Amino acid sequence: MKKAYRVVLMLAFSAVIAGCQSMAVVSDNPMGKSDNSIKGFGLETVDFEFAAKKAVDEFLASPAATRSDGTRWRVAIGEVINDTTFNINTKSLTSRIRSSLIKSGKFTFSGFVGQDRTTFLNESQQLSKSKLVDQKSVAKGGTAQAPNLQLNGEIRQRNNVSGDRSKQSLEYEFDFTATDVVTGQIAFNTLIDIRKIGSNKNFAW
Amino acid sequence: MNIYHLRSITLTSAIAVTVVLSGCAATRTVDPAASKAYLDTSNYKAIASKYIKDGKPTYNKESLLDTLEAAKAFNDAGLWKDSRDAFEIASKGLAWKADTVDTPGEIANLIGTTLTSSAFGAYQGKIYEGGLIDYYQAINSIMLGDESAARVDFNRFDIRMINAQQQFAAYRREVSKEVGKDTKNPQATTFNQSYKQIQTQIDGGISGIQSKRPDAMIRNSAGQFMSGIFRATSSSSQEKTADRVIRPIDNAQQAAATKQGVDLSIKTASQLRKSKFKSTGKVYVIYEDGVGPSFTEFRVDLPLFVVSDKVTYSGIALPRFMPGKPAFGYLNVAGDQTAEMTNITNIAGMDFSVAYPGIVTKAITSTIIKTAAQYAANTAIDRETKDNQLLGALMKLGVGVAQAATTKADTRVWANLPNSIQVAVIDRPVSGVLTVNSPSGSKLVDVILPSALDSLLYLKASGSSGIPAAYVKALPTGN
Repeated sequence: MKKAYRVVLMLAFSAVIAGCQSMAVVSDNPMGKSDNSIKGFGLETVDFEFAAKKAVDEFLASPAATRSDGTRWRVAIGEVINDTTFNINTKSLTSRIRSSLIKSGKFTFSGFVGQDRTTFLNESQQLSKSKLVDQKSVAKGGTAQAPNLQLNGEIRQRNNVSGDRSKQSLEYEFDFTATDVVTGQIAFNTLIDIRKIGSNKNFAW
Repeated sequence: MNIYHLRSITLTSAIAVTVVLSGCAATRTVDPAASKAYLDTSNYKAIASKYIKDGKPTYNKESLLDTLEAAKAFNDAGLWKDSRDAFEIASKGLAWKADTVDTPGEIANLIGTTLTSSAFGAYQGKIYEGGLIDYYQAINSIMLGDESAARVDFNRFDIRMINAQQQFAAYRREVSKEVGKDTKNPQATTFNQSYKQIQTQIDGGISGIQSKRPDAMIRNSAGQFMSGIFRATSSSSQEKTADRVIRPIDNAQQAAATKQGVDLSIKTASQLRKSKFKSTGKVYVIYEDGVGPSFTEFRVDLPLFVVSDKVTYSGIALPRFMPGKPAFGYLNVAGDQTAEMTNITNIAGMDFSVAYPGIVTKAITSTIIKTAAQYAANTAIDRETKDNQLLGALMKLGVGVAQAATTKADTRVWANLPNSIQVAVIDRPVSGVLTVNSPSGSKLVDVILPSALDSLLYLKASGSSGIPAAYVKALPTGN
C-alpha cells in the first residue's frame, strides 16, 4: 500500500514537470528553416550568413558598387556596433561580407586602417633600415594606398512582449552603410531584419 | 492503514523532506556574521580572499546566493574579471521573468517547503537582484575597458528595469491570489481564528519597513543614470541621441530615492542636451555606502484550535526585516556631495512587504498541518505506552522537537550589498587630482585621474572606520 502510494506520487510529479517545457523559438530567417542548429533567441551562424549574403547581393546590384573609372574600391571596415543583449563577435558578419565583396572583383580591403588593420605594414617599413634586407624588395615610403570607401554597421535589437505576456519577440536590425571617403556621401545603405519569437518565461539571453 | 498512521506519515515525511532539502539550501562559503569586522573597516580584499583558494576563485557555483556574494566580493575588491565570471553564472540562475511558480525548480521548491520551510529550499533570488546583476556586470566591463561588453550589459539592464516594475505588480497580484486561496480552503476556520489572535505580533516582521512606495521605485535609479552616461561617454557617435542618452537619465529621475538624486538627474540631462548628448570633461562618481538589509527570525506561539494537552509544540517562525546601515552617509568629492539615487534597503523592503503575507500564510498553514500530525502521533504514543508513562512522555517530546526543527524562518539575504548607491558628476579638475572628504570634512583619499576627457571614479565604504576603496577608469569618450 505504502509503495503503491509513493509510485503514484512520483508519476504525478513527473507528469507535472514534463508539462513545464517552454515553447520553441521560431525565427523568420528563410535560411534557418532547413537548418538543424540550436534554435535560441541569440544570433546564430545561419543568421550572419543570411544578413551578409543579403547585404552583399543588394550592394552589388546597386550602381554604387561599380566605380565610373573602372578601378576597384579600396575599402576599410569601420565601426560595427553590437547594440543587442548578446555578446556577439561582429567579425562573424564582417568577415563574410569582406570575403564576398573581394570575390566580386570590384573591391579590395585595407590592411592599413580600419577593423582589419595589421601591424605588418609598419613592421615592413622598418625593414628599410636593416642592412640585411635587399632594399629593392622593400616597399618604398608613400606607396600604401588610403581607402576611398568605408563600411560601417550596427546590429540593433528591439524587444516586444505579447498582450498576454506569454510570448516575446526579438527583432534584430542589421544596418549597413557604405560611405565615399572622398566626398563624404553615403553611397549605399541597407537594413536587414530577422525576427525571433518564443516563450516569455525567461529573459532571452 | 488507519487515520493515525496516515498523519504520522505526514510528520515523518516532513522530517525526511527536511533532511533531503537541507542539501538544497546549500552552505555559504563566507558566513555574513564572520565578515562583520572586515565590513566595519571596508576591508574588501580580506573578504574577497575568502573566496580564493590556491589562487583560484572558489565558491559554490550551484548556489545562487553563494555565487552572488562571491561575485560582489570580487567587485568590491577590484577583481573585475573574477566578478564578471561569477555574475555570469548567477545571471543564469536569475533568468526567470514569469511571476508564477511553474518552472520545475520552483515547483519542487514549493512542494518541499510547504511542509517545512523556505529556509530548506534553494535560494530563488529576488526581482531587484536580477537588475543588480546586470548593473554590476556593466560596471565590471567598464573597469575592464570592454566597451562592447558594457553595452550588452547595459542593454540587458535596461530590459530588466522595464520588466521589474511589471513583474513586481504581477508578483503582488500572485501573492494576494495565493493568500486568498489558503484563507478559503477547508481548514480556513482554524487558519482565520489563529491569524486573528496573533496579527499584532506578526506585524513585527515588517515594522522596519517604511511606508508604501510607488512601483517605479523598485528600479535601480543609479544604474539607469549610468546607462545614459555610458552612451554619452562611449566611443560610438551613433549612440549620441536623446533616446539613448537622455531617456535613461529621465527614468533614473523617476526612480531616484532622494530629491538630490532627482535634481542631479535633471541637471545632468540638461547639460548633455546642450552638449549634443556627448560628455565633455567630467568625472562620474559612483559611491556605494554602508551595508544592506538583513533578516532575523522571531517566533510566535500559535493558539491552534485543534490541539489539546497532547501537543508539546506549536508555533511559527517568521523573518523580521532589519534595515541596512549607512557608513559615512554620503561623501564630499571636490566640494560636491554625492546624491543618493538607489536605496537598497527601500527596494528590498518593497519586495519583502509584498512577499510577507504569503510567507505568513504558508507558515500558519504549515503549522496547522504539522500540529495535526503531532496530535495524531502523540495519540498513538499514548495508546502504545499506557503502561510506561515516562517512555510516552519522552517520545512525545521527541515528536515536538521534530516539529520545532522543521519550523524555521528563511532569513537568507544577499549579505554584501550596500545600503545605498550614490552618484556625483564633477568637472574634471585641471590638476588631475580629486580629493574625497568625509561629511565632517576630514580628507579620506586623493585620487589621481587618468589623462582622459572623462573618467569613472568608483568608491565603496561599508563602514566608517576605514578608508573607502577607490577605483578609477578612463572612459572612451572621443576615441
